[in-house]
Amino acid sequence: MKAKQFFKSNVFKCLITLLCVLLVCGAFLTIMNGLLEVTSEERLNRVISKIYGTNVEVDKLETKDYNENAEIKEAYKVKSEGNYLIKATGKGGYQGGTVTCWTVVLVENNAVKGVDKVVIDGNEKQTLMSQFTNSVLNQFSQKYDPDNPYSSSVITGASAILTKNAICNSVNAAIDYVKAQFGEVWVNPYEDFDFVKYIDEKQTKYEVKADKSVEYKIVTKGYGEASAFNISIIVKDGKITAYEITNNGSTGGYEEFMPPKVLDGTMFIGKDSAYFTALYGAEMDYKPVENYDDNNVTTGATNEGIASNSTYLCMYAGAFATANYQRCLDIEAQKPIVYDFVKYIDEKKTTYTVTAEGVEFEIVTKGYGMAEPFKIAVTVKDGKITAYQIISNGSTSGYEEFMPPKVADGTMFIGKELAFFTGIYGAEMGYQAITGADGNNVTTGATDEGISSNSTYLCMYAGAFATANYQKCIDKEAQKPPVGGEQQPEGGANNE
Amino acid sequence: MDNSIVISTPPHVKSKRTTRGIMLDVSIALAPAAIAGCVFFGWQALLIILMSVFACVATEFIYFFIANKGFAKKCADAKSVCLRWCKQFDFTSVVTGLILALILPTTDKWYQVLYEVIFGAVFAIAIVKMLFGGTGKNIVNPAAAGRIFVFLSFSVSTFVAANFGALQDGAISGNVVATGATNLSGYLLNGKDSQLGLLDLFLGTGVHGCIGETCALAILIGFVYLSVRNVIKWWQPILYLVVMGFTAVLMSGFEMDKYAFDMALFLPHILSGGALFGAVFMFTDYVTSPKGVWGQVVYYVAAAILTALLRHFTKMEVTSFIILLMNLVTPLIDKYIISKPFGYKKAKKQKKEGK
Amino acid sequence: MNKYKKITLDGLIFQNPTLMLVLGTCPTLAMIKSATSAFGMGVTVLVILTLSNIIISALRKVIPNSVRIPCYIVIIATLVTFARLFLDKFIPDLYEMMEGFLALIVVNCIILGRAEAFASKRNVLESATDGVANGLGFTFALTLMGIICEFFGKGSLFGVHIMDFQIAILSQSAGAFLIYGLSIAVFTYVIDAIERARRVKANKLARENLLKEAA
Repeated sequence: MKAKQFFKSNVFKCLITLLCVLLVCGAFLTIMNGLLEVTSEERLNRVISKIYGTNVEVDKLETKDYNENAEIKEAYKVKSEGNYLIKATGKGGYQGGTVTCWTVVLVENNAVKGVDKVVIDGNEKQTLMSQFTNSVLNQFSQKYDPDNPYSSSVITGASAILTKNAICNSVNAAIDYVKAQFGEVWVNPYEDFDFVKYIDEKQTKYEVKADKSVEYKIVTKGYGEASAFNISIIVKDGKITAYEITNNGSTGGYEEFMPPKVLDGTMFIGKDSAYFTALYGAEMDYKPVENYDDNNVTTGATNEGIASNSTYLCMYAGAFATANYQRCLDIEAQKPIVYDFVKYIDEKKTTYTVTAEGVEFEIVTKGYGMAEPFKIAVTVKDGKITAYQIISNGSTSGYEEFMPPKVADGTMFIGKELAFFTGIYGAEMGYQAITGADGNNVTTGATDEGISSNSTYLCMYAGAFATANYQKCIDKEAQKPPVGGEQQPEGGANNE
Repeated sequence: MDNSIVISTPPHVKSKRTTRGIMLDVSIALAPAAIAGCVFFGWQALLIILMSVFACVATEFIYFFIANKGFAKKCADAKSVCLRWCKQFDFTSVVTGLILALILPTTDKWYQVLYEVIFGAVFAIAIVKMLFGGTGKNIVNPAAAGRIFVFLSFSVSTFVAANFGALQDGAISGNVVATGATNLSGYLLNGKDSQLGLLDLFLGTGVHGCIGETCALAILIGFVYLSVRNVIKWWQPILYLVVMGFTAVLMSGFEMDKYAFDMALFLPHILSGGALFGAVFMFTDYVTSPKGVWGQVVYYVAAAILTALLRHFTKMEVTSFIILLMNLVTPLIDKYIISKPFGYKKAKKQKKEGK
Repeated sequence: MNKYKKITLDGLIFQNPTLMLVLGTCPTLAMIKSATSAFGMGVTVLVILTLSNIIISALRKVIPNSVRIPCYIVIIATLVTFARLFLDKFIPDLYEMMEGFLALIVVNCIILGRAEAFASKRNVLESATDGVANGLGFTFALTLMGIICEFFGKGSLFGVHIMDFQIAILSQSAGAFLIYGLSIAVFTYVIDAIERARRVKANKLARENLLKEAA
């Protein structure tokens, strides 16, 4: 086609028209897009005002996961009020899915005060989301407990347990995140323990008793249809001495299907961790229970008449308790002693040695009133002071003479026990002024200028300290593997 | 050769069978299941059955009345229209009502189920049957469609209808339905073993589910009766159940890492849920199943496999949905699977005449 | 009768795009689950339809016949995009409700159908009237069905909760289909009755005239 023909032809006209239309429309849209654009900031504001209720300014924060059960997606801090707005995805839902929620965490005085609102943002694979009406979600704000995280038993009104777990995980993760902002990061005390897979590490607690027994209050996780169990176990010398299920997590009606000796705990008395690993293997993996008798269960094929999941959780708790018995003792042993009467004792400088003669203390007191710190060597045996010597006298110079002589040379204290000191100064060993002294005793009363009450007080205080903590030092020594040398009492948690 | 053409006037095949007769047979076959349902679930079940039948018949009557100009001319023709209806009444809606009631559950809130039944009945008769042309022209099984309508619309019925099996004590109360472990959804479909003994499943004692579906024994009695009376072909439900059982066992073998073919689950899968009832009474409906033998085989095998698969993946009772699905596919099967024309006889090989 | 009156009545009633011509079923089924979204969709389609009719009618002499479809689509798509931007900025709640189906208006048969059948052949004023009429008919049909579905399906009206009795299936697409079909049936019946009455009246009038003439 010749060029002129082309320009006159239909094809050209069509092309031109199409092009023109496109250009005009494109230009129009570009202008409109510029005018009517919704910035991401505005979108964020919309979301926030929808959830928070009012329009507020927020700072965007960096997300970090502190809770393995959920993932923090977005975190915002409201500038004006200090509350936090957090979007977290909680795991553990039905069919392995998740639920994403926005949580408003209220903050007061740099600590988490509570939860204001929970709004569900989305979910994966959940089917019963319609059960989570506002009345269910409002419970999060009503039932806030600073010590206990939300769980399925706390939030009522919806029967979809797994979905509820996912939502609780999301809200708990939001709270953990905010707590971490204030430095309250939860440290897992069961970091190196054996058999923690089905133990709820946040809620399980244990206590080492004086007789070297460990009392556990175990909260397990769920397994299969069985929910968490609460079990109290006492272990001594590696063997269980007491076992009690305080809250049975079996699906309703299934407790009857547990072996009775497991249910009342008698099967476990006297057993150690070898017993459990023999039944379930060294890793304590789940096995269905085929049969049982008074002393034992036999694992094998599934028996419909036996609640294998619940039995497994009880066994698992037992294994946890016995296997970690020694570990608990060791941890306790490394903890510093909590002393009595430390108010005027300089714990950093005070030392003690346990010998055949008893406990030899080298006490450095603090100052009191005009008196400076004393350094006193006290030996206690069987609760009574056998030796007492003031190494360095802290009385204001010249005032040593005003101390009762039997106090200054320590003879008054020989053979005395704690009752002597508390008899004079009271159970709390509070300061009293001295009016008089004889060979065996001092009398307290109105201030007597002739007696240096402060120095006497400090010497008495040291004696009380030594006698009161004698047994503790002995016990501590017994817990430690035999190592010679001085034991340094650490400051640690005993600061006044 | 005898090529004479025979001319005769219709009807060419005479039989004593009437639609009414067949429907009567089906009603008798349903009776044991209905009685068993009433025994297990009490007088509420009876009430639901009666209400369902009444609603179905009433809907058919009202529709007929309106469509045949009963209201025209200020009800002048009302009486004659009524008489006409009585003459052509063929008890199909009675059977639909019966079946619909038997596949609905009774719960604590039985009065709710009562009005839900009315909705189901209206939907089943007016929309699925009458709008498409009446008896013999419904596109899907009306009772199944009615049940699905109720299932999708009302929450209480939904739960029980979906989760057939033993519910732990006090599970259904008020509007909060508990997610107690139920036999079909909680256990069988999760790869675990049935919580109900076989005898319990068979007799229906202690099993919570829809009124007519629980007592396998009653359904089997109905099945035997229908086969003997030649209303349904005996091999059809059996084919369906066997294939479904096998597929279900295969599926549950894949669950929980047990690559095992546990035949012990075969019977529980068959006896749980609406499969048995559906196989005997609903899949075999003439209108909505294919005509030729091979078409029917394909129909039942496909339905069985689909039921087992869908049950496995959705963990719910899906028989009524599968009925609907296969009913819709029936015309396709009819079209592509060539069946013998009515009255066909194979042509005899022509012997060479003479030498 | 008056040209404009005829166009309006056709668009509104006798050739109602949803209930008589059964066009644009996709947004219908999706949107009638709630009355507010139905109304919103209806108004949006009304605006876009009118504007597109006006523009296409104005350009009808310019656009050559062979490229008319692409041109119409471009114009309609531009208008739809503009509508999306506008709604997103100023009425975000409605935008969220209609999110996906807003874009589908581009291929809504009503708009393209009216452009093809009407706007490309008539002048601007008539096309505008036609657009408004069809849009109103669409809105009216959708809102009516939306009210029914929402009232029986969710027990609420325009978001205001009224009753607890709910037929849940009506708040889903399957129920929407049901209501749609039933609405078409009822609407057709009503229109037929009106037409019949009109015809009877016209026949009666004609017969009377004939008798008068004969007498």
